[in-house]
Amino acid sequence: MKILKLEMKKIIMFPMLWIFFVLCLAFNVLILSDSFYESYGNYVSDIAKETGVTIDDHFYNALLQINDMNNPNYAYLLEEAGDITDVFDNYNIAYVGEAYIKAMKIEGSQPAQMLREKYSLMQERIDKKGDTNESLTLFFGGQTYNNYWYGLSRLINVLLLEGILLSSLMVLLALGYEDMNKTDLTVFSTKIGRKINSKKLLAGIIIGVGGFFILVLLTLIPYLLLNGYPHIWHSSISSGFNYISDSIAGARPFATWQSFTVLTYMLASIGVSVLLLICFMLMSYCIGLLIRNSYIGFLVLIILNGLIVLVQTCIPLTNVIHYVFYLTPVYLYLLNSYWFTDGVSIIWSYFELRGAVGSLLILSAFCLLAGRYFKSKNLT
Amino acid sequence: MLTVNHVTKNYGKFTALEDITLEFNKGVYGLLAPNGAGKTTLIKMLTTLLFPTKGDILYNGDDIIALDEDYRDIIGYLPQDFGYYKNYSPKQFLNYLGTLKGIEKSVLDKKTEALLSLVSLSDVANKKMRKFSGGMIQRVGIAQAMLNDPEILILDEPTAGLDPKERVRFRNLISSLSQNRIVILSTHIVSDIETIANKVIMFKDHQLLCNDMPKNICKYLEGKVFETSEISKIEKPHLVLTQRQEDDKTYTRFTSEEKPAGHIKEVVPNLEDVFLYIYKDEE
Repeated sequence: MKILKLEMKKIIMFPMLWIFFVLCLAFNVLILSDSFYESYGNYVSDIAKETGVTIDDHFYNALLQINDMNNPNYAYLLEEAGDITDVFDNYNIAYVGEAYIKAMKIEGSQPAQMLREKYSLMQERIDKKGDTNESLTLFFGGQTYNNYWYGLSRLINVLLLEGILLSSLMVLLALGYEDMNKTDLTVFSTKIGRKINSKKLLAGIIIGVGGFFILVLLTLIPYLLLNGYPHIWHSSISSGFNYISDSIAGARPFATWQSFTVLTYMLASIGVSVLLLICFMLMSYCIGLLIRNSYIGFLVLIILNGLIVLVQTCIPLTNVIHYVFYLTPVYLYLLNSYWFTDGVSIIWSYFELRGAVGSLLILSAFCLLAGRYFKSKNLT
Repeated sequence: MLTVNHVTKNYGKFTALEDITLEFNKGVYGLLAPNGAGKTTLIKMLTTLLFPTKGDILYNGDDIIALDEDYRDIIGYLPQDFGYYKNYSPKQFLNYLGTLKGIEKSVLDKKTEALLSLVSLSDVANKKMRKFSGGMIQRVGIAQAMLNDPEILILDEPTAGLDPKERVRFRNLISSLSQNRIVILSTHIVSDIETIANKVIMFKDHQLLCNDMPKNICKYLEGKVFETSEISKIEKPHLVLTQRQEDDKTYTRFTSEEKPAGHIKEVVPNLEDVFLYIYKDEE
């Protein structure tokens, strides 16, 4: 425990990490400055105190009683809420799979079959959503949707990338620390010896995940204070106002495998983000044990993930291996906006959980192998 | 007892050490050889940083690799080119390394204080090491090596980079620490070990040349070392060792298989003579 604390202290004292952390925050502030106070969002938030977020008879009655016709926001809300229907009623999602099978020209292949099976499973979920009127909840609408929801999504995407880079660098710096200070021979000849590396990894994971949470809080708290819309957190993420859109299947409801409120969706996404961060840290650990220079190791980490993307593009779409690559950490990051949804061309449900947990297990095995290699390595 | 048992170390096709067999009991052992002779390789194998290609190293009959942390628990090691954390004070640094050595905090605090006092660094115990001289850093190095009161103290070129005064001080310090333990000290500077080593180990062509007391090693050149102020008049084959000035004359010390004729004085060979003679072909 004492060693772990000392290793954590060493990581915290890296000037490079603080510089990187401050740069990340500064960049996030830039993104924040892009977002602005939305009168409509704020108005809906106030209204929701009276109406609740579920769009039902009580909602309409409460909304009509407010009768604030002179306010254009009221009129707009009335119009939007009036138009809303349960998007999951009689919604058949199979066409999305078919559109992708056609676009990818994989008809008759195993992946096509698996894609159909996945959408068939998703259909069951959608039918349940239809039964429970899950889409009939307030969400961001109109301009607020574009300004706020996209802004928030973009911010979360940036935060995830920053967290990955920060925590990976942290592990690599922790492992390379002794080499940088020429203390490697002294440290590895002490009683704990080369086992110190596992303490360094654990210290890196604790500080990495902690640092990510601090980064998220320092960025999101001002953002939410600026654009607080408290009503939205208890709305369904699959609200009729929310949608996914792409060039192959067009705009469609935001269908998820589970029923999430915006809050639980955010928490689940943060959970997957933490798993993903740990995956990248394990990857960095393996690289750090093979390459003793932290900065070269960081470069290798980036190149390795670039290669994963490159290799994937070379594998035919009709080969299941092509889709296995979607479960790698780098793809999980790139596809973060599809987490917990149908995952379009990915042939498995819950690809983010399968990918994160699978990668975690495989990378842990690699770490054990890398540890064994390092244990028998001649330290010249 | 520490035993090096027919150890060979290869780096690819290069053989750094070949079939070395040694025994270390309590006392000071000087590893004396020029740079590149394999001293550091042997020391790194003794500290489990390198693994023998052939043979094994035993401590009281057990393989040190298998003993793992039980073995490292009883060694203290000062590497050549000792590194340190510039932003740490000696006290912080010793506390960190002491923790890695598994020393209890209550013991460690007292031990750190005592060792810093021993190496005369008490007054700078809480100062950052960033501005420390080479001598001060080496003293931190010896203090960290002594933290666990090791049964085997291994020092790799501990006087490298030290000025003559610091070197004498360091020698005295090592001598005072050598009671009841094995001290293995590698150097290519004869004076570092001449007076303190119980035994001197020398390598030649990556093989063990000798492992003996200094006086016995000096016997190797008995009757073959001479001194003269007229070296230019010596016609027999000889090897110049050292020169010294006295009474406006330059006296040259040299070796020759036979005593040359003329104004020649036979002198008692010392370790430096043997070192220069043995490694005459090496840079």
